[in-house]
Amino acid sequence: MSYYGSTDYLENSDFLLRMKDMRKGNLDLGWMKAGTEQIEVHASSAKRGLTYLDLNQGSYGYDELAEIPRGPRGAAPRGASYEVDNQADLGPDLNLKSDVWAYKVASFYEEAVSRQWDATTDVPWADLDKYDTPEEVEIAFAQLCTFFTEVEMIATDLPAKWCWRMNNQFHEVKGFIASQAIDEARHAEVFRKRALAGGVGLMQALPQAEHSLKAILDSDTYSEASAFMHLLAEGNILTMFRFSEFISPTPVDKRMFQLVMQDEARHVSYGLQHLKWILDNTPERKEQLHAALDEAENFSLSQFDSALFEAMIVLAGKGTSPEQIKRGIEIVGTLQVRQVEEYFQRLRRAGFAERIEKSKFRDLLAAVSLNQQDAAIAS
Amino acid sequence: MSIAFPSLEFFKALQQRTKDEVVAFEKLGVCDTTFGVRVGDELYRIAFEIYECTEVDECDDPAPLDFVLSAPVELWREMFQSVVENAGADAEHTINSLTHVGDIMKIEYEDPEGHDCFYRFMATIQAFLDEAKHLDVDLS
Ligand SMILES: [Fe+2]
Ligand SMILES: [Fe+2]
Repeated sequence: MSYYGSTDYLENSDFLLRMKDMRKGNLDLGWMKAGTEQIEVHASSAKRGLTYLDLNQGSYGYDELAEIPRGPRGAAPRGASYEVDNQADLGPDLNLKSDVWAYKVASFYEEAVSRQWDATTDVPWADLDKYDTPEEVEIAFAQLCTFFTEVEMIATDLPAKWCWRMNNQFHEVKGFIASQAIDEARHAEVFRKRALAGGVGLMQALPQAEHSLKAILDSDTYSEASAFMHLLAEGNILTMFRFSEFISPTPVDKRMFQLVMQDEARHVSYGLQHLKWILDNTPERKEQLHAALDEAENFSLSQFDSALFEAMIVLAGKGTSPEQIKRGIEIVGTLQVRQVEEYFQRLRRAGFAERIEKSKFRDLLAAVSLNQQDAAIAS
Repeated sequence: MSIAFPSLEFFKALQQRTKDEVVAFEKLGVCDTTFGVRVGDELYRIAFEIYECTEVDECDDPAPLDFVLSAPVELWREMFQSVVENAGADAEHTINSLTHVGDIMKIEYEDPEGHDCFYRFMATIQAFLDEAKHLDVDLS
């Protein structure tokens, strides 16, 4: 324990007297006149049910929440009455709306809750035995799953790290990132299960990935962490999931990637909308985000020289013969170009097109590209 | 009597399947997107709301659509042939695989947010197209 009550209640005569009084039926009932707002809420669609969007009214809603809410710093839910002087100050670090908010965040939360799935039963694991995958392809797939397992564990930690630091007035965002944490825990679960169910087991943990993941976890602010993780890293992972579905050795794997892809796209969409919100409301934060993305892009590039990159080439080429490797390099090169293109598109959409000019991906992708851009490799 | 492909009737039959298979589509979760399917020169608008496909019609303007899956009629035929023969698209014919490399099937979009809907609702969209396995469809 580190937080001790200011009162020892069993030694407090006022408390004991009041407790006895209540037991005699002498109730105060002052709480029945909390003075909070009364509104009518209805599900806008009976089929969809009562959503956070339906509750977006008056003092309970999020549209009227100011950039500096000036509300409680404890656990008082938005719209409840609270005692300013007597609240337990939880010391939230993130107290500005623009620290955490994203357009559509309430919708993303509802979507997340509705589109949950179960890694234990929604992937047809028993069917894996029906397919004969070449050994080297299965080994490469296990390496890919090992990388994904590492990534997903940290993707679970990151929202969990920031969730309790957010002021409780931002409960839609807290709910969303809590849903992200369970999504990512499920992703770590499904990739671990897949690596083991294929008979190969887990392969090499990758230092390049771990340094990059540490950089995400150690970001100075939530918005830096979000730009790095939601927008850049998960954008890359989303493209990798598409690639992985494409090269999946079995329909079982296709199903797995279709399901993880949906969650990942939702996380990326939140990241885009958070960045857009920041730029629309607090454009003075741009330089801070540029600095964070400079290093985020640097770490992302480190993946290009790793067992992951080789495993992807083997998977894309479906083997290790020279012809297969050649084919694999072509496909993986296309994937990398697409990762960068899609990242740039999201930056534009968020209103951060100026980032593209500064991006390390422009020159460095050309330098590491193994397809049509070989001519750009510095000698 | 078999349903011709491509035709509005075909896509309306797929729409009806989302109502017939309500449990399966509810299990996949809410899906709110309006996208296009371009078969050669013909563009079909497909709207999903909550759990089911609510509207299907022919349209001219792709601008309001989140994204458009676009391919020549031969490729759509090949894809639905795979769906019918395998009770769902085989590994080479999932919409992700067809759109991923080589632009065999293109994803057209103006807004990356609309584009992300393709991924956010991928399992529902694939399930929708896979419902062709229950139709008597003329793919000739
Ligand atoms: Fe994930
Ligand atoms: Fe994610």
